[in-house]
Amino acid sequence: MSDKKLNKFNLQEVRETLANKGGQEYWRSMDQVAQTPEFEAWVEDEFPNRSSILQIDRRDFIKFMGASMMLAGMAGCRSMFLPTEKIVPYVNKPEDIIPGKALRFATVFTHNQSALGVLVTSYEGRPVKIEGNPSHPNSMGATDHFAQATILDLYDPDRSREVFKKNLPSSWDVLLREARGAMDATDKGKGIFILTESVLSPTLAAELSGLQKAFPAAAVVQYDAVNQDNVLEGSNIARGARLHPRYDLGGVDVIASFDGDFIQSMPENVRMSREFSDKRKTVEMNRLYVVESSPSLTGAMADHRRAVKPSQIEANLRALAQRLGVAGIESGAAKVDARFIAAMASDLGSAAKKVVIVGASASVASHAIAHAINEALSGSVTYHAPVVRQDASQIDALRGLTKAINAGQVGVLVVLGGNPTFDAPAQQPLIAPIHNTKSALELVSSLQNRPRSSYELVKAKHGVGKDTAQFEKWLNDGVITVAEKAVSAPALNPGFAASLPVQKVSSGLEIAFRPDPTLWDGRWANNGWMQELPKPLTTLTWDNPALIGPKMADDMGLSDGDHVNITLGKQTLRIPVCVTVGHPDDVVTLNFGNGRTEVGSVGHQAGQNVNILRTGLGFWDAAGATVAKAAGGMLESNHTDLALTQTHHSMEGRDIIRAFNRDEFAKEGMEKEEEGVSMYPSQEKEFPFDGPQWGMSIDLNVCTGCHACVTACQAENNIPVIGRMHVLKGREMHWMRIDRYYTVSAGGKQVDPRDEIDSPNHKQDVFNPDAVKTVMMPLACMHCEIAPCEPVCPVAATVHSHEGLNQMVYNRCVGTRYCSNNCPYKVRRFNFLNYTDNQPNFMDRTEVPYTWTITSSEKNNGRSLLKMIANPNVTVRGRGVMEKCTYCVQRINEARIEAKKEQREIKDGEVVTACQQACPSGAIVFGNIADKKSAVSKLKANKRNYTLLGELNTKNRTTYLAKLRNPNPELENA
Amino acid sequence: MPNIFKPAANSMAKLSLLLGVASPVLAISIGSAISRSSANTGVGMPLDQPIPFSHKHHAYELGIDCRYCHTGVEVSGKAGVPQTETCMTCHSQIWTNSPLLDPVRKSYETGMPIKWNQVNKAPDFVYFNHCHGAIQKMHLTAKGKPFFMVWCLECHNQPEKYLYKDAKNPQLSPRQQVFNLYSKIQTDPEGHEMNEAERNLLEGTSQAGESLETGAKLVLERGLKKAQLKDCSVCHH
Repeated sequence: MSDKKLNKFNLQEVRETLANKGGQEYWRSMDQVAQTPEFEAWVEDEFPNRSSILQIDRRDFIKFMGASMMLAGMAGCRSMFLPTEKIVPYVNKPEDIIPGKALRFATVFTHNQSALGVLVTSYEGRPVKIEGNPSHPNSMGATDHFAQATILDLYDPDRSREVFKKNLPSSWDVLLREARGAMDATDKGKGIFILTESVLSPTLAAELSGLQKAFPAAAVVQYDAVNQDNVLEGSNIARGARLHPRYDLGGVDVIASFDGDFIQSMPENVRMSREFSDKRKTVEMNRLYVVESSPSLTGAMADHRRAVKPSQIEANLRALAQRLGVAGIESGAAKVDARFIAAMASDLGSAAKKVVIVGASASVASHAIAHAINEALSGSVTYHAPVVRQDASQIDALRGLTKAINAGQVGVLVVLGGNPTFDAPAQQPLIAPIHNTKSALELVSSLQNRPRSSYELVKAKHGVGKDTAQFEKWLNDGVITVAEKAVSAPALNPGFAASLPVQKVSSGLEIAFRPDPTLWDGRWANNGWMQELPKPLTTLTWDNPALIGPKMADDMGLSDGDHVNITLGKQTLRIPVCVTVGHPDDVVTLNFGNGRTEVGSVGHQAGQNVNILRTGLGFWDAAGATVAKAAGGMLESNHTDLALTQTHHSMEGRDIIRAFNRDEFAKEGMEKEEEGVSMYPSQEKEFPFDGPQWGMSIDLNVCTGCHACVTACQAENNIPVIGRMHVLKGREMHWMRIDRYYTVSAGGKQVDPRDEIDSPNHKQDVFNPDAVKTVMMPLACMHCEIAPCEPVCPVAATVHSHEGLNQMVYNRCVGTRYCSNNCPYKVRRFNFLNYTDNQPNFMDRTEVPYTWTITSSEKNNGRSLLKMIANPNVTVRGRGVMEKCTYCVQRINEARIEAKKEQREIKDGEVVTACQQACPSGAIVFGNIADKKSAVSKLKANKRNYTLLGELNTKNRTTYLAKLRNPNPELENA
Repeated sequence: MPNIFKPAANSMAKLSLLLGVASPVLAISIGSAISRSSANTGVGMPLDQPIPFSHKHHAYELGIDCRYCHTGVEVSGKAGVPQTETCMTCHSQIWTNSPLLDPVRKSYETGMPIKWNQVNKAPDFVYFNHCHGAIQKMHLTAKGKPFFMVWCLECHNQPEKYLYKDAKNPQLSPRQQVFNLYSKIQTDPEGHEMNEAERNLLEGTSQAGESLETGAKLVLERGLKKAQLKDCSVCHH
């Protein structure tokens, strides 16, 4: 197995296998469909790539056994050998801090031009976890995976920790003195440039304008690699004002999205996910149409999806506008699926509440047209001005700065931002600066010769003239409760259609540039959690290959990991490919954000820098590229194994996913689960113990697969990062995974009545991206009441609790791994190499983890920072120990202790697991199933409730609610 | 041919047989005795501390409430060694020149914390957040119990043996009962007014608390779920 080559399927086999299948089959990867021998061997082997014990000879074996027994005896006498530990109390304890008790601070996480209210949990001044702020309108208690992972950046071993001057340590005094001197020497600020990310903080905006008052000629340049240029310019053309649309999806019946990935990559995605799923959970549901040029999570949720080239998005919008009777819109330059557009238009027209969403990557004209469409439909959207005006596009502004630098006109360049800082304003800062750092706010205020703390600055902005108690309450809650002044957007410019930019026309191949789903624009490239988080649709870790569709792969003879040369203009990029089901034909998606060269020890050598192809002209997409299979040579391989997790932990060949169409489900319901023959005796009482019985319900209907839960679990439960090499061996440690299943309809043969066939004209197979349906299934330990893992453990390290938890006792575990062999759900993880203690080394992508050398004491010091991230309430597991989801037992225990102190029972909703808490769509509900009135019991009584692999009779405590789809009958039965 | 074995060889053979059986037993008993002895567990052996602080003096003789110094004790599972400022509330007024208190004054002046040696440490993998013995009887703080799991299980198996309720003050909550008992000590140091259960608790003997019947009633009254107390994840998570 050691030199296995997964990802080596033959597309012809895939096609044949699928063509022969009747009914609806769900599959996870192309390998699985093709049933390659490699895939089968991988599935057969519980721990692929492990060393065989037979490699040790008999003498060595006895030596090791003898030594182990001796050392085991020594462990009893630990206290004789271990040094005494110290207790170091405070000299003067801050008033609010009680050692051992968590404090929660409200602050704001800014990302992608929107602000997410969060609560940061901190132990003795050490922030360890980020959670959503329930009273913040953009969060409603949830977060996305970015917000969860940003806490790790605080302890980034490679953070800059001092002021440097020409590579030598310096000080803030010197920096401020010299910078201010240089600024004073300019002519009213001519030549001063401040380069910053899009400003979202009103206080920073005020400070910047203060600076500009002192230096009127100074220029503030805002730039984000994922920016809203086209959105603002489209608004400018349509309404004569540069405004952001804010889509309100609450109660919306029909949503049409054009490259608008509101689940993951649009501003305020968490709020929109929640609003979308709240409506989706209702009986009537909502209907989602998606036209997209690169597979996204929103597309995966769609009831109807069309995969098109980037240049065709505009044509589709134009066709929709014409259909809806918007005056003056010309036809698009590309062909569109007229039937699809017609159905969408009539659906939009007849719905009570509806909206058309356009993503940032769509063309300027698309955005302008969307203004007109939403105006005509009375779409559920409002418009808001950016915090700091952006009169020109960010790209133009950056270009201006580059020009000025080249011309030598820049005297002082101040670069702000790029790193989320946690010294956010609070009376008592959440954390004292770990290193000698200042917040952007403090720096700008210092440059004005009036240095003040962030707290003072924020108070000056929001608190002047108001009573202090009110300001302190705002600070405490993290939310300012002043109604935002509603901007009444200027009326639509009636003749705007005439001034739309010329449409791009392209035949042939196009490249779509999209931010990396986990690293974003590269700001999380040095974040181990984000590098190792499987990218939601591809399940890739540690890499960013070019995504191509199966048809293109077939035509070019490529499989996963094969290298191609992509040439655009004069630049050529050599990059592996990843075959992505549902990817549009003739399009290559390049995710930027990885492949940074100066990034730090984690992201070092990870991935490919695709920015070399991304130019201002082809910012979101580019035509005219050529792709050729790269030749391999003696020195250079033309294949890279991709660290995909989709084939790991497979439960292949079983009935796993249940999905139905809404109307059919209402009529027919779901087949009742058949009780299988059980190997285990049945219990007399439902619950033999009188106390809470914990259980979980996961609603597949609203799970978007965003992976916020996986990251939240990682942060809460001290789950280590293991590095690319070990992921390749199938050893990733995430306690929770999200399985992504695809299905296509059955190629015209024996069509199952439950089948969704958008259009019989399409050839229904894997090569048709429009026919692919996706289902996301989060999976952690099922906490079976009759758990197959328990009887096989020789040391009783996994046993049942009276509250129904399948407990894992780390100090008993001797690492036989029988439990994992016997687990039908493949949710147990084995810690092979003491990943936590040696975490930095695994994150280094060092090929042989035993031979690292620590180069300098400073680096070592930085690494020890990582220890501060650990949650003190969860054991940090060592080598040779099995681990798995505990239902966040530390939170259950905490709630139980609090309840006992108050002499009452635990209330419903008091125990919230980390995954449940993070979930933007509210798909996960946890609680006491013995209490028939609890939220989770009510969900389990739902008609859609089913047990995964229920025929095994393991009586899982985690159950699922079947997925429903809401297709348009017009498109379905043509 | 001379005899190879002398008559004593018989005895030797018997003895070695006996030793062969006895020595593993001996080795195991000695080993386990050592591992349970104070030499290994450190029970009853005070550690060197920067200041020879006496709980007996402060909490018993002077009658200072535990919560005066251990401010977080009612809300947090961590004992919480008091801050230097707490010491200085009194010791800026009394014993101001005592050389024993030099480290306290130094810490207060320099802002550098006092580093105490940890006496009681819950073993790895254990989350432990309650109860301690008769620390008001200790001059120098020393480990009272070896922290073997069997000791934890004594109570987790039979909580009724260790539960306590003051019959004269039944209205107090379980938490208040604890502090009530400690305030009794201060008014009645010799324990003349106390019943046997209370004296047992104060002396820290292993058989403490109420009679088994009363204890069993208290288990019901306080809603303790006995079976669950032995669940692994109650302490190991």
